[in-house]
Amino acid sequence: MNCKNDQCSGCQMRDLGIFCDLSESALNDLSEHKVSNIYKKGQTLFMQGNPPFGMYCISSGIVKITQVGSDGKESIVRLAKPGDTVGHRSLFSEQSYKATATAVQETKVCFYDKKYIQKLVKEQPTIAYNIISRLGRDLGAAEQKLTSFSQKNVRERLAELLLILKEGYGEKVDGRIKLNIKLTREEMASMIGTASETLIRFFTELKNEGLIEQEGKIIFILDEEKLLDFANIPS
Amino acid sequence: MRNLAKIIQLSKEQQEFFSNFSEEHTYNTPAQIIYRGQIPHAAYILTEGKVLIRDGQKKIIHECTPGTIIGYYELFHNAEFTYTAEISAGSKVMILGRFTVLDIQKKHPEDIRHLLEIQ
Repeated sequence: MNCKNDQCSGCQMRDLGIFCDLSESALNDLSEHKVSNIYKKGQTLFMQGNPPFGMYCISSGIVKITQVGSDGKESIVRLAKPGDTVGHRSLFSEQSYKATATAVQETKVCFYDKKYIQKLVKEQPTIAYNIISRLGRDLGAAEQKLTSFSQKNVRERLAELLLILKEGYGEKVDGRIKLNIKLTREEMASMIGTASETLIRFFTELKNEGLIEQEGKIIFILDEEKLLDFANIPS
Repeated sequence: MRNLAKIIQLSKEQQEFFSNFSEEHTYNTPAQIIYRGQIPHAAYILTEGKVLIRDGQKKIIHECTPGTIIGYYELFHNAEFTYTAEISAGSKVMILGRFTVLDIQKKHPEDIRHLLEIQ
């Protein structure tokens, strides 16, 4: 499925993306050079180990970024939501993709090829600044995750993960916070570096403590303050 | 190749022509480079290895060999793919992105018309 006639100037994610500072004429040029497609759940944007030739901007949906370790196990290292870009690090470092990007649900993605992005970065310095800003933010998040892995126990890491998911995908519904993202237990376990069985055990503990509840595959946060305590994060 | 758009076998001279616009890249991991129903990011010239073309029911309908250009016609016409393409690990391709293709068409319109007339 494709989205041939979408204009960048009308994009709902315009203010969240790296192109937010561009003029109308520059956005029109952007529209001429982008390729928009819809990826079905499970379809990959790119694979770890393969060459980059462009940058992807998420317009709607969710993309999981995974890495396969030397032991063959796959871990989710990041989730990309609308407004996020993926593939930019390999593009600018001229290295093969270090991770795989896969649509978690039906996802609309805009692609800009490498030569066009290089031209745009030279002509529009604000784009370069925005990309650097994104890289800085991603690095900060990676460092935070590293600290959590080394200093926090599984229960704390799980609580922290739920709070991170709340930031990106949370929606207030009837006094609860609904997490608008469906991840399997295995995916959540990989995100906090534990086994599925351990995750399920601590998940049940959080439910029994009244911090979260579940309706089908949807998770609701009931007590954010207490979850912050469990995550050992100062409020 | 029912319902297929153009998958063209290039001559050595034509491959050399395109090599002026793109470097060779290695796909270390097998990957879907084309999904049926999507519009193209790029065209691919296979220089080594294999690309399998499948129809909507996942049946293999063609095996591309080195020298094949895949996706150029769809890129040129901004058309949806009517097939999926899967590249094997270790295969090498020259990748022609949209920006590059537009550039080639602007600078070498006769060469491109000649290439498409081969069909």
